[in-house]
Amino acid sequence: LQVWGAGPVGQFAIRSAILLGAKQVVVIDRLPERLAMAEAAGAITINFEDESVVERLNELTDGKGPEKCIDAVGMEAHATSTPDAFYDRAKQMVMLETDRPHVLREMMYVCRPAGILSIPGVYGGVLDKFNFGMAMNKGLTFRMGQTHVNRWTPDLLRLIEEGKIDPSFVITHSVPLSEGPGMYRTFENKQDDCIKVILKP
Amino acid sequence: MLKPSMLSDSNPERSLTTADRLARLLGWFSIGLGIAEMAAPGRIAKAVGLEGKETLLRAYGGREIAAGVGALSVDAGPAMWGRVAGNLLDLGTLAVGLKQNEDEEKRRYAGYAIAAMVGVTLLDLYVASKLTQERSRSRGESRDYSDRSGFPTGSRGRSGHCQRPCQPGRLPGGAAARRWLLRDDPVSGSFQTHAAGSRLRREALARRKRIAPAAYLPAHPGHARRLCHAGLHPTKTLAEQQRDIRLCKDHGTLSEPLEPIAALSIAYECLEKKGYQRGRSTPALP
Repeated sequence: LQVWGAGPVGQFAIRSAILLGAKQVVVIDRLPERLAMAEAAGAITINFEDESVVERLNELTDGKGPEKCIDAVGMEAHATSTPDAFYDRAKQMVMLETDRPHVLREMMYVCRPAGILSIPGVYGGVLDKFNFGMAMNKGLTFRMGQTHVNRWTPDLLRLIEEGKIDPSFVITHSVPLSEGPGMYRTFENKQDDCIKVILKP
Repeated sequence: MLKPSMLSDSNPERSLTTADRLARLLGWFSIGLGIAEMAAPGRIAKAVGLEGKETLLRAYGGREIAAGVGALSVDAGPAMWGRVAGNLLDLGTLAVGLKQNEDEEKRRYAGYAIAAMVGVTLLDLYVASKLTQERSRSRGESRDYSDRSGFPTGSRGRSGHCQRPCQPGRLPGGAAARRWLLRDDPVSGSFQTHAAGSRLRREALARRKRIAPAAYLPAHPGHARRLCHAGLHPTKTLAEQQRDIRLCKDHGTLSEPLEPIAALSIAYECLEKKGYQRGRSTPALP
């Protein structure tokens, strides 16, 4: 199983996968502190700024690609050196495209035929240069949504009660509500190793 | 327009910094100037002594508008640096106009224009560098998240160390064994052609119920270590175990390419000779 993005959503995707019995969880990000947190749960990490995602995935899956791919990144992908990242940036700058779907393109490319793409990462609008033919002919399954919170809340609360998971691991900052705007800035710019903020009213 | 409160950069109660606001202001200014240059290049050219360069002025207008749109976007940094570069180009063009012109009044206007441009350029430079600085990740002391597994029981997921002593596992039995040793590709499922329909259904059910195959196969040495499994062999390293498994698996499938069950038992015999132990309900010999 492959997770793109080691933000809070990605972190919980990793732990959920391990609790459900995933054999091998690989996570991709570029921020060392997030990768360290993913590694703490037992995931194999790939820093896409230092190494080639496709090469490493081939190595880890014997060239077959991951069976299940989770996009925990969404529309604001920070791919830095790929041509499509420049393309998306440029189009977004002049308001011809709303999202930067680098992760979706990469998932469709690396996923094993008949694999599953799960997309809790948020997308906002129009995607461009999207190779749907590849997804169709590989027979991929797409699942997406803002994580169907109501459907899973009782099950997840039970896991916490049973002591199978402690979700507080993800909280890195706790500030009063009045400091919210500044904390948003910190979070947006990934400063101070910020991963998840709790605002106290 | 500039209030004192806007000047405190690190005000935690505001999400937009001074540089963000100035970038917005300069973005609108850029668009306004661009529209003027596009709509009335003749008048501007005449005023600053650049007659005959109307097309160039129009092109500059297009550039100004593009930079303005960029400066109004969420990531204004690159557009602000673009504005700085564009302003230097403008200054050069104005200087050429100043040099070529004899008319005293036009030279004065060009001088005013250059003075204004220098001011705006300095402001652009300030905003651009401020934005770059604010958006950069500070390379201060980094925090350590290596103990944040999120698994309170600690039986799995703790990196680097085991909460419980690691026991060597056993070779998997039953359906898991066949899948583990023989199936190359879950899509084509080559072994399935040999299985009866009802058994296939039972296996599918078992597959759904089965948890944590990590206990069987160290898919990745580091991963297996972190999940606290010693692997399948009491003394060999995980890399050695992986090599043994691969070799025996190849040996089995090469000996009996058309009989997966036979290939499996050959692979298991090969592994047993190397000191591995079978789990319960390993597949019967044919």
